[in-house]
Amino acid sequence: MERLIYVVLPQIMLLAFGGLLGVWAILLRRSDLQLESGARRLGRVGAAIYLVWLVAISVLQDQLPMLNAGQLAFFLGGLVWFGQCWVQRSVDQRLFALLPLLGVVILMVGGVIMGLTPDGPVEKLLGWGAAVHVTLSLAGISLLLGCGVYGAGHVILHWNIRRRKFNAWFQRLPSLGDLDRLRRRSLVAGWALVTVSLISALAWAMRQPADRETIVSHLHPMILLAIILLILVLADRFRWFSANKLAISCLVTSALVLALLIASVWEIFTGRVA
Amino acid sequence: MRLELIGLNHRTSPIEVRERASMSPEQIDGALRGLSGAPNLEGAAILSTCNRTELYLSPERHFTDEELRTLYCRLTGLPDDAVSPAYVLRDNDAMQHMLRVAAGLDSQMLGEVQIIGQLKDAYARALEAGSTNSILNKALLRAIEAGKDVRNRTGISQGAVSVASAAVQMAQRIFGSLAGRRVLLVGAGETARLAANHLSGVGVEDWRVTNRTEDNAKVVADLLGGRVVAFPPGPDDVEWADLVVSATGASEPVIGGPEVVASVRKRRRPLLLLDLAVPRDVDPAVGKCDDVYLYTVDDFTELVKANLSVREKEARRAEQIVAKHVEEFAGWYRENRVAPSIQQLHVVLEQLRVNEVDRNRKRFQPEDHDQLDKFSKALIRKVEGLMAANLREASRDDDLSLAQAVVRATRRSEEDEDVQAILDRLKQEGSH
Repeated sequence: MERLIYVVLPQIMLLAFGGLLGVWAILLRRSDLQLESGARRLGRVGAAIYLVWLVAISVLQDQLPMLNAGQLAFFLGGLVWFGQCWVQRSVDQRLFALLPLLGVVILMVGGVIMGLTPDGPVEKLLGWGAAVHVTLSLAGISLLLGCGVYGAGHVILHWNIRRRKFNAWFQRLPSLGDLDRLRRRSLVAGWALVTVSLISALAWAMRQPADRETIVSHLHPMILLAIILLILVLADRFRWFSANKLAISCLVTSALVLALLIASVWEIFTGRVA
Repeated sequence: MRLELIGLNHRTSPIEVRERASMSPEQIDGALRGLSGAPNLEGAAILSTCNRTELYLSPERHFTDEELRTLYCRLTGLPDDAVSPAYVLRDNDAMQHMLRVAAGLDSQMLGEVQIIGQLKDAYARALEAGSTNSILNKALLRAIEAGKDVRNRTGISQGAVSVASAAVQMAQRIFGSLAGRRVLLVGAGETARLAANHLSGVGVEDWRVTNRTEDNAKVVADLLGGRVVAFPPGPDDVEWADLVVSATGASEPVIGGPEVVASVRKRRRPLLLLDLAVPRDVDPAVGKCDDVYLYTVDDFTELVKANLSVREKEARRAEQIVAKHVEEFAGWYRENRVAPSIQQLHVVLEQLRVNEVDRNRKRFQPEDHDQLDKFSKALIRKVEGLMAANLREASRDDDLSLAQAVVRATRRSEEDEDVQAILDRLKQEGSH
């Protein structure tokens, strides 16, 4: 059973999402409606296997998959996939099926390489407080990474339109309006999740007097991130900057989010501040 | 294969000849009615567009080139010498041409989409006139299907290929859907109206129109359902718009100046300025603001060139799809050659079944008669199914001797004319 959950199912998922990535890479070069509908079905199959695995691993280890860096990477990979499906539900854009998928596959490969079997339980990651905080954080981070991708798309298309470069990027990227909408939607949702995650972590810290200081110190970068995100959301809402500058800001913030994520994971599992 | 075509198009004939060859819907109906029941002809359809007039035929045996040219002259009213450059294609070549036409590969503007509708019309007219047979039906339906397939699976029809549609493409690259966008139209001449028509066609409804001669602006505004504003447009009008289309004959820029630049900087929403005028209408300084995209006629010419180059690349893949459809049609045709033999087999076996059942009915209880019918039908169906499958398979491999043997074996008299006709047809098919 353990082998099935820690080894076999993750490898099957990796195959499914890897295959899906290959199919979308083909679809980016040439359209084929049958292949596209097959890709959609494969995506749903991958998502279903992921949900089964999530439930099974959570029951087995009495905690969501967050007990080591491999599990966190794998968990985040799945959330990126669900996040992009949610954000793009009304936009049919091949390139933006491909880029998040690339992220999903990289994270899942990372998870499998680092190993999903926990060496031993990390005490501070057990319990509902950690589960809620980490899940919300990862969901928020996955959306913010998506926000960075949409921002990058906006910057590239803006650059191509301004310089009259009618190349593949110009032909295949979604419109600036769509990219702006997707970026805004993922930014707002990401900010909301990170903020709720922060509040849940504070509540968790209140209930754990012994670990309060550790938890709160761990939250400092996250508080800073929530503030930066709030400023970005307000700037977006009230159009303090041009659309392109907002896109660049989101791209930079997304890189910051990725750095914070890596630093946090490092800190949790090594006990050292990165 | 009993399929052939003759036609003139933009490659073979100048516009003066194509104009004369072109047929109105009424002329096509009349011609098809005239062809119904013509000797040696089982099916006919006519496709007539501004760039081609083609006659698709399914004869009992192939016409000679001369016969086809004479027929073409008779139907179109062209003199002999005008028809001499006409192309005559038969069998797989004819089918391939039909599919290439449907896919837009043979069009003057590569990948144009109107041809599918025109082919559908040609098919509908032929159906209505009762001038098609099963081969032509299948060929035309396959052509329409292939045309759609090519457009779904390649980018051959993507990207604008005229300045006005390129302007719409650019607007869609920036805004996505144009429904609900606000457009300021500067000028009321032909270019401005053409661009407005294209934008209107993709859902733009909110218009402001301005022109040096206010009466002309009013005419255009009434057509678009917009309102007239003062000329030249002020900062408020530019700030209001998402898209500005300018095509006046002014010798100096009509959109520009510090006030307009300041209002554009203030808006912080994307603004697309389509300057279709020569000399230019928009001060280049406006285009340097953030979130402003200024495009001129020259830029659109470049965009059209880029789109055409994409279509040319896609054409190679479209040709492969066409080849696949031609092969499938040829496979269907080879199988279908034995359909009359299978029908003959069915008639004979059914007759035998009915006779035998009637002769033996009295040996069964009345309540068993239904079962007797069901059993005999099932038995005959099985035999027929097995034989039909083998006949089709042999026909696919170009072996018609089995079909001939079956027809001969089921012949009840030497004088049976229907059977003789089937045998003649099979012989003809074999010689093709």
